[in-house]
Amino acid sequence: MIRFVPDTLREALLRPLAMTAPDGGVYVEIMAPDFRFVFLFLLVVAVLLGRLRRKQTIKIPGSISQLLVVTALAFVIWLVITGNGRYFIQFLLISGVLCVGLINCLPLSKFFRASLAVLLTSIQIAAVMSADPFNAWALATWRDAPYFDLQKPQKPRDEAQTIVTISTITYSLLAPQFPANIRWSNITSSPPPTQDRLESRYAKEILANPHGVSLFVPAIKQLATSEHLPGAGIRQAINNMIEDYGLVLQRADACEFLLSKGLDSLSLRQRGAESSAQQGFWLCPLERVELKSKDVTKRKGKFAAVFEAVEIQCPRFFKPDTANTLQIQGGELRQYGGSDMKLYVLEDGDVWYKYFRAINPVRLGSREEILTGRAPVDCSKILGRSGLPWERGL
Amino acid sequence: MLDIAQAGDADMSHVTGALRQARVQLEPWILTLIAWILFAAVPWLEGGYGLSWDALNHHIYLGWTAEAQRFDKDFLGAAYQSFQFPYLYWPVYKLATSGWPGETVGIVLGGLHALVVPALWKIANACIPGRAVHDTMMRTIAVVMALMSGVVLSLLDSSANDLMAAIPFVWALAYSLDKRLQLAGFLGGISIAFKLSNGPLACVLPVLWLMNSERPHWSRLRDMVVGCLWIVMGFAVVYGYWGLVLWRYFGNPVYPFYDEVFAPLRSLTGWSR
Repeated sequence: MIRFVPDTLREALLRPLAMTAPDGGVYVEIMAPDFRFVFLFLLVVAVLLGRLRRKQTIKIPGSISQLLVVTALAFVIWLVITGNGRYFIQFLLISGVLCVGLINCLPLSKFFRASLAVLLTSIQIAAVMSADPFNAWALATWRDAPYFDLQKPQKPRDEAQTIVTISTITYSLLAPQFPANIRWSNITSSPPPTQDRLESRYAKEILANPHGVSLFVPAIKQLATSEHLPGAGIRQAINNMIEDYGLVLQRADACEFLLSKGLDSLSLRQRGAESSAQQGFWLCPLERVELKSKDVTKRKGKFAAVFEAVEIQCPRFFKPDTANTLQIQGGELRQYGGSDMKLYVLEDGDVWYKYFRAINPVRLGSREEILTGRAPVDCSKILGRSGLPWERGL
Repeated sequence: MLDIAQAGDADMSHVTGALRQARVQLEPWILTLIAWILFAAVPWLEGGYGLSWDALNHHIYLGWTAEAQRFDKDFLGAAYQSFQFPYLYWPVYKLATSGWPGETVGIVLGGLHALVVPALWKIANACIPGRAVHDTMMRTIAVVMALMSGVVLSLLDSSANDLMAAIPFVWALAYSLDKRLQLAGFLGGISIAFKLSNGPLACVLPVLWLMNSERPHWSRLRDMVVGCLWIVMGFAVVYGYWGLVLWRYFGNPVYPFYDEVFAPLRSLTGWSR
């Protein structure tokens, strides 16, 4: 995952400055402006200048100089490995102590040093609070018990069956609310059982459960029948996702709609107070069908050559052999999870990419232009990513 | 008369010194208590505990599997996050399934997060070692400044374990400054067990030990090697059981990472599944 890894040396060197920006996706997904590394840099310069002017009369405790060195070293390691602030918390904490420690070394009166410490801390507090760090990650809120409400299934079901999930969020937080013998699998994360891999064997084994297999998936109201059960369109979409695993959802009337106030709270946060209640999950028994290996053309898609032409030009963002080809309305799509990138090749001839932070997709050219090299991909200007936060565009 | 006055001054100075010492000793505990109260108040003031994408996806599930692993039943129950070290999620899982309202779970989880405060104070004390009121004030500001991170504060009403996993690392830095390398190494190892992404960052600990020592060069190197062995020991003690579980089911103690690295070991040991 290169989400927060700098693309250029300039971006790496200016990361402390970028961290001051009140933008999301700079060094962590949420907005978390942080001035302390800039303060640290300025304070180190001030202390060094003070030492030069006063000829070594400024004493810096060994602890401060040692921590400065290891923090700088850790900063480099961090940028190389992930650049993700959640994996750098220890040094985000240490940077604050070092700022005040360095202020205390400055050749100023006690009053001035204390005032400067209060001033810089106030600036940092104002920056942090301006982005409201609380509830920043929440999609739903756990208020009263239970932590995530779900109506109990009414239809009798085998309590040793396998329940598969297919949504990107697995909603596995609900698993402890079901009987403990139920076996859970987010099957779409797994390679299909037909492949020769350890994971495929595990998938095959859990799907062969003689107690049966059911599907647990968030219901989509707009695609439901009047009885809140999955309509024909959504059943087809689900079947497209699970056919590689030898499963099929045939009968809507065998499904059960389970109301969930937990899902309601999620929906309310996402769409505002006008969202109506009655959100829930579908629990549907699945039937088994014969497992078939997809032929290569079907697996790679009919525009494989176009995808590969882009991948060769920009392997950092479109890493070869890391994305499956999905059939979408009007074309094909490859999603590169490691770089948060989507690449579309459309039936109308256009080729587009979209970085996850950008609002707009970017047209790369036509299929022919990509294949003949007449539309080279500029990997250094990825809309929504390249440059400092105020240069990235949307 | 002069002697009596001097004796009185000496007594006063002794009392003042003792009071100053008591104040400094109380500093970390007072700060920790205040932090705990404030941390606990965050979910209460926010009207509940946040359930993030990760919480919906794997945090609660991992806490559940911490009580009894489920690889014999489930496969990718929480997608590929199912293989993460689960034990730090046990408190939030237990609180959730025990029927606690979200507003009050900060009392427990805020208390766990507040364990970082005495370590931060210890580091602040090493950087600002004076005993005057000014120094107390500067250390307090240093601890406040340390915690004033959007990332850190955002975790006070979230079930993410990133702050908890960083706490042993901060203690490792604090004890490194105290030259207690064995303890520092052990805590560094624990932090890696809690979160493997702490591993590369832990490479800075031996550098700190090298710089912080006043012993001859060869002794420094020997200390560094001993400290590194304690890192390995801390990691093995805390991660060992989970690593064995992953080895048993997937032939790789850090599955799904570095799987090709463990392929020769699987062949060598005849591991099969």
